[in-house]
Amino acid sequence: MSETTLERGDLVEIDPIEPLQTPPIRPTLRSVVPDDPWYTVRLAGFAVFVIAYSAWFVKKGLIIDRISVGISVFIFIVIGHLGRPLRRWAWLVFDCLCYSVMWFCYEESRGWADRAGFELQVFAPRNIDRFLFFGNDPNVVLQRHFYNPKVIHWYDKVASTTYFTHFIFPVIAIAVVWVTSHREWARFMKRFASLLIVSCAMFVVLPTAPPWMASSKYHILPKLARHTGRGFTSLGLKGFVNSWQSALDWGNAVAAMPSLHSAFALFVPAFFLPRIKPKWLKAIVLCFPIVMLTSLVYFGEHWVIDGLVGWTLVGLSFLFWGWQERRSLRKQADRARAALGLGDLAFVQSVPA
Amino acid sequence: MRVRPSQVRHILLDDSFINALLATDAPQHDAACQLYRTLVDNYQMGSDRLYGLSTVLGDLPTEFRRNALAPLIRLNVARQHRVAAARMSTNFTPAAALSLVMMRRERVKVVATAAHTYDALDIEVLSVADAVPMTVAEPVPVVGADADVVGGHVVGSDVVAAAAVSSGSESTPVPRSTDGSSPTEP
Repeated sequence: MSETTLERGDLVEIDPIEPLQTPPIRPTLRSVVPDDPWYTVRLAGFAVFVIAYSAWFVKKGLIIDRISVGISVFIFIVIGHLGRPLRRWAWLVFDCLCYSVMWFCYEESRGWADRAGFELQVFAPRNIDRFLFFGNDPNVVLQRHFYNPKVIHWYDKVASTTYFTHFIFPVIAIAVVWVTSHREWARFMKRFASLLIVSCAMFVVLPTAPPWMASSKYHILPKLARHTGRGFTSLGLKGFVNSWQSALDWGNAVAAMPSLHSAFALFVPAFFLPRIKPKWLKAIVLCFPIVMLTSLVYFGEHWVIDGLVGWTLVGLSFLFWGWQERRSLRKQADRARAALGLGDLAFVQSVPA
Repeated sequence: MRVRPSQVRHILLDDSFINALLATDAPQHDAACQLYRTLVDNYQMGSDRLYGLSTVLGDLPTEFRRNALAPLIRLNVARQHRVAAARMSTNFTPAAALSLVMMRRERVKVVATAAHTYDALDIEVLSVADAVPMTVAEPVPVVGADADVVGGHVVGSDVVAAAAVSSGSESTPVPRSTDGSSPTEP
């Protein structure tokens, strides 16, 4: 290989640099399809709703009574349907009817429970709890070790706040799912309604005295404090109950079995769990129902067995509807295969390309 | 195996794909059936969710709709969707424009098709259009001014039109050399 000595002033031939060949940029769906003009309106509506709800929460308290909750959910959903086709609105009306009927039946079941006259369970849940905890009453043990009537500890605040999330978490979940996907909403509500129906049936057939009642009225437990709202109010928060609640108050004090607080606390995370990717976040989310049940037991609101039965019903509801949905998918897929003669893999592979 | 909801593919079966499924004499019928079988298997496993437009499904025989297309979720086309489709570029046929509008509004990311309509877009396309080779049976005697002759095949506006008619779809753009010389055969 010959070497050439270059001197100052020599001209050097340099290969021209070819311009970089970049693949053509293909337009995205977003750039081709015009924007939905109502999208911004809905976003603005949601922003206004969140501000108004927060202001109400700070000024008047957390909305607790079912009718006020129903109204706030309705407003949220209407905002989510602004600018949607008429058919979606028709579905909304139908959904609202089903939703209202579900809650009406739930409230009515309390009256049925009173009229049905099934024997009140007082000793059985206590005995089961004692069996589960080697002869100890968990309500009593928790209050003895952690409850101090003169001091509100941090865990009182955590427990009380957890208790009150029952009034907003499921509702927020329902509203968000309702607005984002009607299909997912139907999946959610099938499970939710099943849980409510079975729970109501149990309230009628198996009226159960909660621990605070077993203590104060039947004296089968040492004195229990019912200090549910103490931690919540110590944070400067309060619950908002409108006056119409008193007219519609069919409260059933002996609806302890199953615990819907525990059930809902598991239900919402369980529904969204497949959407959560990080395992640590899944673990945290699954701690929530445990914290809820511990809080309920600590406040003397429920027996442990109430919470366990609530969780079991959630599990059964998910198992049943999961099975039902898989079955439906299989049947539809089989019909499609049969109609097009696609059932046999060998047949399909033999089809010439 | 359980599928995470975020991994579920939402797939629109467009009119050309459904027509290819329905018409047993269509050139892409076998390929469409084969792809549809895979989609139905995935649907059963929960990894794919299949959609069809109400404008397309409404025109089909009820028997076919209820059985062969049982897995399809109906996307109802409303007036606002038609208006949005009408406002779109004229590069798309009205049916394709409507499909694209519905895909965006319903967050459907994938389209199964028997045409080349969506090739120019940055979306996932499951196409059976290439299953039918675009060959010309006889040389076209009259070649347009913008046509080229490559390896005995005529590639140009007339042939593109002929291929589009024969396969019921639009043509694939012919690859062109970047140095400005005549196009090479694919």
